[in-house]
Amino acid sequence: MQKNLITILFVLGVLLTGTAQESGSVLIKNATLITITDGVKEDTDLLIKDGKISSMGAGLSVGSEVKVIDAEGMYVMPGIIDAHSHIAIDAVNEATDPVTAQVWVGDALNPFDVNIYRALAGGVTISHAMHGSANAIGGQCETIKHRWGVTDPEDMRMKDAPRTIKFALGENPMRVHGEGQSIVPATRMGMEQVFRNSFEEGKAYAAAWKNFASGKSKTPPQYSLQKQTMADIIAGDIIIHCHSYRADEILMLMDVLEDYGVNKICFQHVNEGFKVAPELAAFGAHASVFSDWWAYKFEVYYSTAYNAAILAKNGVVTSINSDSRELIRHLYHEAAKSQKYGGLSDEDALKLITINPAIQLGIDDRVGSLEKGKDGDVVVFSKHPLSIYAVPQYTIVDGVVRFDVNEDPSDMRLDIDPEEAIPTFMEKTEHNHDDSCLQDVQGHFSHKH
Amino acid sequence: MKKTTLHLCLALWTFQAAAQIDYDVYPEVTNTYFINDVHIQTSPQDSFGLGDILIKDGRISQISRSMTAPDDAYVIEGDSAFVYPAFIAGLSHAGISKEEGKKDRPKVKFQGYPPNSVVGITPEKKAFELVDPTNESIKKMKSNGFAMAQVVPRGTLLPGQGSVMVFDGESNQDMVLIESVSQFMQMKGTRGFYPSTIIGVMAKWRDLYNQAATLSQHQDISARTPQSKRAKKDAALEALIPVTKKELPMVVLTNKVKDLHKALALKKELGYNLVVAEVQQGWSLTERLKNEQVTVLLSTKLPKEKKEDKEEKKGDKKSDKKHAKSKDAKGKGAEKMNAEKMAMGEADKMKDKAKEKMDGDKKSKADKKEKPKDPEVEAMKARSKKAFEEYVGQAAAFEKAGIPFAFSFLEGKPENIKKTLGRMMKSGLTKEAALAALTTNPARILGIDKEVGTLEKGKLANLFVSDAPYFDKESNIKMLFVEGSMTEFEVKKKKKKDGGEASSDFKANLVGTWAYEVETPGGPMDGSVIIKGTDDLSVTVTSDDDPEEPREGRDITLGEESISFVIDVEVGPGLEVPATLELEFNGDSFSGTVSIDEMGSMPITGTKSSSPEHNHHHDHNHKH
Repeated sequence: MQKNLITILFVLGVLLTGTAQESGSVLIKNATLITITDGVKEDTDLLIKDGKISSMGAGLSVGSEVKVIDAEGMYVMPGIIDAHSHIAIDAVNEATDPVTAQVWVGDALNPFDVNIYRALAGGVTISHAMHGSANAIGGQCETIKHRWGVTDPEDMRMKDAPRTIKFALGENPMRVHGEGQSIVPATRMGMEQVFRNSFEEGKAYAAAWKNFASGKSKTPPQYSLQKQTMADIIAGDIIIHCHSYRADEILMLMDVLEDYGVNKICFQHVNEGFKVAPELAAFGAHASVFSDWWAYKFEVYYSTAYNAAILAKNGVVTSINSDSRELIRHLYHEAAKSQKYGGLSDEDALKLITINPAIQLGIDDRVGSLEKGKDGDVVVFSKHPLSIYAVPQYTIVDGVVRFDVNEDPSDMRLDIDPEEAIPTFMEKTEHNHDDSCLQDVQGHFSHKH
Repeated sequence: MKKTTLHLCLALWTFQAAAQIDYDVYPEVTNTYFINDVHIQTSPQDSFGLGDILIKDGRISQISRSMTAPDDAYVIEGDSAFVYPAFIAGLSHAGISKEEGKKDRPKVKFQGYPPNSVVGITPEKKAFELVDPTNESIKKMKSNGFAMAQVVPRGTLLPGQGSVMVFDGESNQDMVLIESVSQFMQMKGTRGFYPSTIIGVMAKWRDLYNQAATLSQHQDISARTPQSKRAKKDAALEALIPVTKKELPMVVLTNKVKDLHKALALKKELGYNLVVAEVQQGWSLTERLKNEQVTVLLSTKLPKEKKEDKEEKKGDKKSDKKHAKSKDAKGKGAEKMNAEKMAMGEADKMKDKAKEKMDGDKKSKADKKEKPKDPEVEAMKARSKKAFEEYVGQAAAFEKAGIPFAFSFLEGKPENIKKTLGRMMKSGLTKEAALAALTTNPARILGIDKEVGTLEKGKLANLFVSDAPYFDKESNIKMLFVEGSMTEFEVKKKKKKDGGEASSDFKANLVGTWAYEVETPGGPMDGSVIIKGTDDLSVTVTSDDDPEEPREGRDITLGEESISFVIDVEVGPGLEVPATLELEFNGDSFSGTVSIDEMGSMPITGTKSSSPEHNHHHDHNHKH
């Protein structure tokens, strides 16, 4: 027993001290490489050097200081990317106002959230930590790398990833603000007005500062981070990720955006996307969907498991997301369902969780496929990732092995509260059934449940 | 702060001190005191040895080995007692009533744009304006050797400006040495209003800061441009302008390492001078704090020693009993039964595994009759212990890193300071660093090290007299001089109980019904805590929303003036989770936390609503 204890502490110690290193080098030997953008390469080596994919080919060799993984019979694919999640953040909704463009979940990153490690165990290397859907215009989001072990929130950010912001349509903002506060938006008509008002404010704000800068007005306007953010969206600096279900509202938002010259948008959930797939494709809008999750509220009844396949076949850049700390652990199963229901090819099914979400987050030049020069974010599967028997063996971020199925102690906590009672089994596995999209909001529209 | 202001303040203050007669303390017939024959610790490092101290008009007039008392001096026979520079609290709410800073809750129709006062944004307030010299907290600080403090207002996000206060004087005007030394910030939101969450708080702070900077720019333009648009008056923003100009530092409450990272990120982004306060988990950031020239005020609140550790020391009997009892309490409700079965099943599996291992190790432990221990639980305990040591050892880590920190007292109690220092010193903090953190370091941080912090000729006569070396367990502070004004303290007889044990009086007072209010994310929740029994207490918790479903407390643990227990609470339809309640009592009221895994903790407060009739009488009779 004593020995066991020491082993666990030792492994943890190694993990903790090993984290100062931001990027690393790994050679993966004799694997089947699923490149996503350049077919499948059997019996091939992949070398990650100083955090970047440096070469793929046969018989690669390295110095003894580089970790070598023998992946014979195993499959290597790019690290899975989740375009919609709420893990690793301490706050999800600032639900006090229908418009909170100024808030940013990047301010609430929590490197100690064990769900990061659990996501790694499911092969996910990047997730899009999003504001919730309580507000029509919620907060700005953060694209994070799953560098489990770092303690500075700064080290979790994917540097230079484009800014993104959460919008939300339909029942959630109507319920929170219309029903909860008796203010606009109480209806879907009101929703449209909220967007238009905010874009107008952003436009006027940018013009006011321009006038001050040019000397046309002598004194500065009052600073407003909210209006500045709206102006940044209009300027094309921020990608919109919009919580949406109904086709009519999706068309409405595209109309609004067109009026303000905004075209960077990814519709999230978008359960009725299959009804307007050609329109989405024509607009250049993206779609990030669930594989087969619906009927959890009225506006989500009209749904289909063929959604992803229909959207993809219509030329919409489509991804499958988790929106859940549980689903995030098996997004490869979720991708496989699109094959089951939509008959997508292996490559197209895997695109839904790799290059496509990368495009939606504006990071496809760096991740999402196995290509020379891209980030060393890969996952090694025991079997083909679309097989129900596949289990991730290693998850590597920037060339650093952050998950190794063979060294997987049960206590992976990074931050120990010295006063916390040693938890029992049940207490720690209690599932949270709250809709995480509406976390922090409960009090805003009803006092109980 | 500017030097001229400081000197002016001091001159004024000395004049008033001379004119003041404080009958409560001692009728001041003279302003000259002569303390003879005492060990004098002149600074954290230096001791003068045995000598005499002459105090005149509020200042130290002389420290000498053999001196004759002047005719007009009040002579204090030191009797080989020990004299130290009086303590300075780096941060405190001393003198400010607990009611102060509680937000008014007017009916604000729109949650998104509440008035500043509703969300605790009052940077225009100055702490000294709120200080009541008769407040009990000042007496408490004085009796523990404190003569001064940086006092900050109570409140939420931006409670106001810190003032340097001297604990002597009849009014707050008398007491204030520097009106404004800092702007205080807590990264706290207000439930139901913007900003309500940490992301709202951070955004709101960026807005306020940049608005203040823009306002300042606007004011400058207006001043030199005739007929330009007027800059509108805004007291809150105007109070922040000195921060944007680096004339005032931001003191930011940063308990945990995550808070420190937030404060450092904001400093980098906005560029003001930063003081991190009430730091409890900063040991991993010492180098960064040093490199970025951040001033550090460490918390004096340390983690409580684990109950089980304490119990282990006392023998197993008691804990066995408790264990049996908690099992009884658990087996209620069909759903819980199921859950428990699963948990037990899993626990059994683990136990089996542990047992196998133990069997293997039997030879080595053959003579010890130990119950098989769960290796997973043991590993977690070891990590818990390590974390505990890191928290207690924080001050030593900062000393080692060469950071001259002071202490803050917003969460730790000044009356526990000696005990707390003892724990820190056991973890490696030196005596010198402990004293420096309470004298020279805060003096330097507050820019008053020419006036206070050490015992030197000409400095303010801020000192205390202890009947034994201060760090001795049995030492008592007998006397405190604050700017030459003397206060004597009765030396309390030692309590017969060794600390940590609940007294029978406390237990008797616990019994009864207590009305509580929990601040949940979904609004306040009210109900009652009912405590029954005499020796073994039982606890039942009811909610006003659902009075038909009382919850039985289990794992009940009594502290000196506290009780903790676990109840199951409903957090969703059919979804129950255990919640730990930790309540600290103060007479007929309590405050504390309700903690639920994955949801964090919520504040709870309560007052006694009734005592059981017969019990009450019984107790009284018993006592008389």
